[in-house]
Amino acid sequence: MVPTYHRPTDVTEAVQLKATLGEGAVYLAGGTEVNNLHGPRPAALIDLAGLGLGRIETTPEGLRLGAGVTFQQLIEHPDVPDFLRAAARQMTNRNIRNRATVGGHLATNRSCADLIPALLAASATVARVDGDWPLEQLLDSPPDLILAVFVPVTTRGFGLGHQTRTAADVSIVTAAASLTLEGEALRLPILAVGGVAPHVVRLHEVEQALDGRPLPVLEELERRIAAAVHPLDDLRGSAAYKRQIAAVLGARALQTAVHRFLSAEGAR
Amino acid sequence: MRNTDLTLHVQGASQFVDDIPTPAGCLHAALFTSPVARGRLRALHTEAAAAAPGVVAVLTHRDVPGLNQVGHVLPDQPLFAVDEVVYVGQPLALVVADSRPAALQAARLITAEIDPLEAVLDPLEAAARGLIHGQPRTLSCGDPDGAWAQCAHVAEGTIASGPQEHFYFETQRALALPGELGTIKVVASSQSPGTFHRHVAEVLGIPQHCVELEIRRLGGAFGGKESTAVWVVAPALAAFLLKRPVKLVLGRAEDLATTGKRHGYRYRYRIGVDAEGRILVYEATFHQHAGACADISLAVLGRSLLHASGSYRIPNLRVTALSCRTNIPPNNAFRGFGVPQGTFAIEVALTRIAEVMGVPATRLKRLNLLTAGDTLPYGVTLAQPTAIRCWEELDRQVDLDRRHERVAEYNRTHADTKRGLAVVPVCFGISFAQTALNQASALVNIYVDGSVAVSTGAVEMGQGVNTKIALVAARTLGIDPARVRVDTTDTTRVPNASPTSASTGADLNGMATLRACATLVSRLQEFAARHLGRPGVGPGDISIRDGVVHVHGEPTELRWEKLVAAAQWARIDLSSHDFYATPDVYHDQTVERGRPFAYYSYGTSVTEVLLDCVRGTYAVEAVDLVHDAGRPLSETIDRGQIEGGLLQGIGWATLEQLRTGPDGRLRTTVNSYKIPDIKFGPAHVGITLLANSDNPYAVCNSKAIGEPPFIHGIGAYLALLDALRAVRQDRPFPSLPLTPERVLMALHGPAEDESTSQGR
Repeated sequence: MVPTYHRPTDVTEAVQLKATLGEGAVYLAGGTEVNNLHGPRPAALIDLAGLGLGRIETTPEGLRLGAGVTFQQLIEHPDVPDFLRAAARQMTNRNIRNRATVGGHLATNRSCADLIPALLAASATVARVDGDWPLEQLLDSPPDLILAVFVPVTTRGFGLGHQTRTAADVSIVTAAASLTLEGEALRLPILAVGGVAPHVVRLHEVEQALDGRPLPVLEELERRIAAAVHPLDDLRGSAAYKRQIAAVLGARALQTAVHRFLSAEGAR
Repeated sequence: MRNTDLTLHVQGASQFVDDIPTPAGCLHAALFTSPVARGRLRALHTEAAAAAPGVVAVLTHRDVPGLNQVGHVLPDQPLFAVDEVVYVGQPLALVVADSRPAALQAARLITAEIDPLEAVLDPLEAAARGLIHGQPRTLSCGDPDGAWAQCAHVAEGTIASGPQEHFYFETQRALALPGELGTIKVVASSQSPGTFHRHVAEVLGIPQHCVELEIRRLGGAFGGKESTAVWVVAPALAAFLLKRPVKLVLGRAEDLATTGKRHGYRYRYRIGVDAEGRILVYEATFHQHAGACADISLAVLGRSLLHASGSYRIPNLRVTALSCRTNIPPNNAFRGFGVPQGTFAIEVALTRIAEVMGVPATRLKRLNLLTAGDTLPYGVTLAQPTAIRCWEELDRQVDLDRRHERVAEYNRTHADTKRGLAVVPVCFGISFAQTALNQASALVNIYVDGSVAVSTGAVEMGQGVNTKIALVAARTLGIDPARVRVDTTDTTRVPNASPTSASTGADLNGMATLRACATLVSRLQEFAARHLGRPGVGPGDISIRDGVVHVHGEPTELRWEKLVAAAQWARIDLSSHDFYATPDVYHDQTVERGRPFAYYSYGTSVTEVLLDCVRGTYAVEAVDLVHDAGRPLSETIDRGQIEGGLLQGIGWATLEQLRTGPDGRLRTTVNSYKIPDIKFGPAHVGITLLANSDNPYAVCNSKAIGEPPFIHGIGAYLALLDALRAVRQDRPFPSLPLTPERVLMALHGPAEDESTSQGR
C-alpha cells in the first residue's frame, strides 16, 4: 500500500533520498510505529535495514548502541546494564521487542516511551547525521536520522517504574531515576518521567531540590513530583490519575536508585 | 471429543467469509456513515465518489427496491438514513468499487449536509425526557412496600456497569453472489440465519425463496452478529442491483466505532434484610443505555429483569427496567444478554448490606441461596436447583471460611497490598425468553457410502456446536462421529432458523438432530429386520452400535455401510427432517408471570485478587469454580466455554472500558481498548463440573454452557471491591469496570460520585 519503497545501503544515500523525496518520505526501522500510523500512508519509505546500524559496541567509556539495535538485542546482550535491560523489557510484548529499534523509539519520541527515561537517567548522548547531542536536548528539537546512542559507563544507582493495565500493554506513565550518594546526601540526582508531557521530561526542579540532601520520606517525594508534572486527560487516563502514578513511580524509582547505589557500593 | 474445527484453525485452513476465493468480477463495498450524532439530513453529495477511480456505483436509500428497513424487533432502523441521522456511524450510502481501497477512498469523498440537533448521550437524561424504547417493565412479587417495616437492616445505592466491545476476530462481513432469475446467495458472518434471510428478501423486495443465506462458521460473534443485519444486507443489495458479486468487510476500527456493544446500565437499588440477614425485600431500577434504535435491547432488558433476583430467594421484590434511547450506535446482544447486569446489581446490593451489617457477604449469600421449593419472582417454583450442591462442592474443595481467614490475616499484616475474595453463585435461565424462538429443525442425510451429513440452524462460531451436533447424530445412529459431517448453515436446507444464541444452539438443534436420526434409525431397524430375514426377529430386536447391526444385543455381519447401501437399493428414504420446540415455556409480559425457561444453569465460583494499593494495579490470582454442565456432550468443549466465558467476564468487570465523547463519537480506539491478555488471566483456574447431574430438559442430559460461566467474571469486580474495602469504606462503591485507574482514584482520588460519569 506504500507507493515507493527504498532500501539505501549507506547513510549518505539515505539522507540524500530523504532530501529528494521530501516531507512525504518516512524512515523505516522496525516498523512498529510506521505500520501503526493512522490516516494516510506515507508516500515513500526509506528502509534503514541496509545501513548496518544494528550493532552493540562495548568500549572502555561505555556502550554504543546502533540505532538499528532492537529491544530484544538489548535484553539479550551481556554488556547491557541491568537497568537498561529492565527498561527495554517494559515494552509491550516479545513480538514488538523483536522489531522495535532504539533509534526508532527515540525518533518517535512518544510521551510514555519506555526506554527514554532510563537513557536520560544514564546521561546518554545521541549521534545523528547532524552531530552528537545530549538526549534531553533532542527530545525538544526537530527529528533527523539517528545513527547511535552512547550510554556512558557509570557507578550511579538506577531505579525504574512503569504503569500498565496488563503485562502486555503500552505504558501509561514511565519513570527512571539515577543518583550517587556522598554519605547520606544525594549527588546530582536525575529523575525523568514519561506520560505527563508531550515527551519524556526531566524534573529539574525536583532534582535540584533533592541535590545535596538525604532522600526525603516517600510522602514528600510524591508531593514534590506531583507538583512538578502537568499531565493531560486522555484515553490512557485522567490527569489526576497520571499525576498520582507519576508521583508514586518517581518516588519509588528514587528510593530504588538509592538502594541500588548502596548495594553496589557495598559490593565494591 | 475435541472441537472438530481446532486442527483447521491451527493450520489456518478454516474458511471464514474472506477466505472464500474471491469470485471473478467481484466488487468491494464500503459504507459512508453519519459523522453527526443527531440531525436533519438535508442533502447527500455522492457525485465526487461516483466519479472516483474504480467506482461502479454509490447506493443510498433511493436505490432500495424493497423495504429500507432492518430493525430487528421494531421497524426503527433504516438500512440507509433517509432524512434524519440518530447516531455517529449510521449508514448513509454504500460505495461499490472494483477494489476495497478504491471503495474506501471514494467513500471519503461523500459529504452530508446535516443540520445538527441536540444529541442525548446520557441514559438517565434520556429517561427523564421520555426517550425510551418500548415501555418500562416492572417485575414484582410479594409486598415490597409493606416489607420494609420488618427489615432490621437496609442499604441503598447507585452504581453503573459499562459497555463491552465484542471484539470478535472476524469483523462484520458478507459476500453476496447474484444468481439466475433474480436470485441471490449471501455468504455471511451471521448468527441469525432466519432473520437475516428475511431482511435480505425484504430489502430487495423479493420472496425469501429467491434468497439463499449460507454460513460456514464465524470467527467469533458473542452476540454481536445476532441482530444488526446492515453488514449482510448492504452487500446483498449491491450484488442484486449490479448483478456482480459484492463483498463488504468492515475494518477493525470501523467495526469498533460503528457496531453495537454490551449495554451499559445504571442501577438504583435498595435492599432490606432481617436480623439474621435473610433478604426480605429488594427494589431496583435499571436504566439500560440502549442507543438510537431498539435493535434487540428490549429482549436484553427483559432478561435482566427476569434475573434481577440472581441466585437468591427474595420474597418481596419490585424491579423496574427502562431501555433508554440515546444517540449512540444501537447496542445489541452480548454473551449473557442482560443477565450479567441483573446479577451484578443484586450481588452489589448483597455486598453492601453485608458491609452495613458487618458480616461477610459470603455468609449472606449462602443463607439466601436458592433451594428446592423456592419461587422465583415471576412465579416459577424450583424443584431441584443445584445451586447449593455447586456451592457445597466448592466449599468442600477450597474451604471458603479458611480462604476468608487467610485473606483477612494477609490484610492485617500488609498495608500497601491487600487481598480480596468474593464468592459468586450463578443462576442462569436457559431458553429464549421470547418463547417463539425456542424451535429448531435439522436435516439428516445418509449417503450410500455410509457417510452422514447434518444440517441444522445452528451456527458454528467457535463454541463447538457442530461437534456437539455430530456427537448427538453419531450417538443416535450408532456410528463413529468421524462418519458425520455437519454441513454449513443454509436457509435452503433449514428455513426460518432461530439465532444461535441464548446458549441454546446445541440444546435446540441437537434435539432436532436427535429426532431426525431416531426416525432414520427406526426406518433402518425395520429394513434390517427384513433384510436379515431371521425368523422371529423384528425391528425392536435390532440395534446399531459401533457401526454394526446388532440383534438382541449381539453383533451380526451386517455393517453400517452395507446396511445403508442395501436400504437405499430397497428404496428406503435415507433423509430425514425433524423439528423440536421446547415444551412448556411461556411468559406473559403484561403481568410478568410465566415459565420462560426450560431449566437453569447453576454454578459457584470463588475469586481471589491481590491489589497494589499504591499503584491501583492488581492480579486476579485464582478462580475456583464448580459449574453444573449436566452430562456434557463434550467435556473438553464445555471446559473451554467455561474458561472463555470466565475470562470475558473478568474483562468486562476489570479492564474493558469504552468512552464516548460529547459529540457522540466513540473515543476509544483499538489501541486503547484493553481485553484480557494471557498474562492478565488468573494464574490458577480450577474448574469442576458438578458430578451426577442429570438434565431431562436438554439433549442427552446435557446443559447449555455458552453464557452462564460469564457470570463468574463478576467475582473479579467483587473481589477487587473486597480488597478496596479493606483499605477504606467511607466512599460509595466504584462502578464496573474496576480499571486500575478507577481503583487508584477510589483509594486516593478526590471524593466524588463517579457513577454519574459512567454507563456510556
